[in-house]
Amino acid sequence: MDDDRGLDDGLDDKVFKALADPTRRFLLDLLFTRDGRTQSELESELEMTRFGVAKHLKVLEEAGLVVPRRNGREKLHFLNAVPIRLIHDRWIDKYTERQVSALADLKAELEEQA
Amino acid sequence: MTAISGSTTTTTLVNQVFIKADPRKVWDAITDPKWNERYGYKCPSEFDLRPGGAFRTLASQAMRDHGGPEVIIDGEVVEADPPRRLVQTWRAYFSPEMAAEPATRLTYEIDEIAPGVSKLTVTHELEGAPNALFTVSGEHPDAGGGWAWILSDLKTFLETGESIER
Repeated sequence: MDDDRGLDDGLDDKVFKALADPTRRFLLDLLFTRDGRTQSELESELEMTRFGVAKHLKVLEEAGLVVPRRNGREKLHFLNAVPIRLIHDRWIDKYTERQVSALADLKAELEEQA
Repeated sequence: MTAISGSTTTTTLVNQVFIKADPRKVWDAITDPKWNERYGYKCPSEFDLRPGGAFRTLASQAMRDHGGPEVIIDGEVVEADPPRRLVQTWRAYFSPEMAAEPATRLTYEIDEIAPGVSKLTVTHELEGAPNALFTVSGEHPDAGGGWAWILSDLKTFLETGESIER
């Protein structure tokens, strides 16, 4: 392996690690619902200290899943869908897309009936 | 950089990708129709790279075969600072609803974070353009994967010379 793989493998590790936590997935879901929020806005949705939320946001930022943008004195957090897309294109597509989409269809169908 | 005001935050998309290519290559892949027709939706985009210069994206052959318009996106270059920063307006003509929406604002920023490694950030401000937002966010089921998919394919194209091509 040359170091061409280093960048992406390192980022993939960070994405998987970032996603392996329910609070961080919840933060992503919050941003998916409404993008571009301040840390205070996100805190109000969680039973957690400011420090705890900041720590989770930092892990998400390092994985590239959240991109901070300055707006005057505010720091807004935006969901970045590209890292998940890259994992989708490289891993899910490659090995299992057909099965996954069949299962997703089945799940959707069952949930519709419920 | 334009301030992203609080009321427009839900209509701004920020997408970012790290690419193993120097900023000049990334810039050319975005602005040169010779390259930009080879990934994503595979449509050539032409830029007159100076403030006020014209921008337009032409339909691919497949789109024209479906009877779509010849120019599918147009706009104006606001700022061109090669190979670091490109600001433009952007209005798509994929549907009558989108064509009726106001022009949106698109900013490309390219930072070299290590030798030969670029960080590309694409900010699309889509205030007042819900149909465009639905399409470029990748939520529209019939419109491909939007920005996330385009940038994923751009990365693949620059790093391997090939499109993901399904």
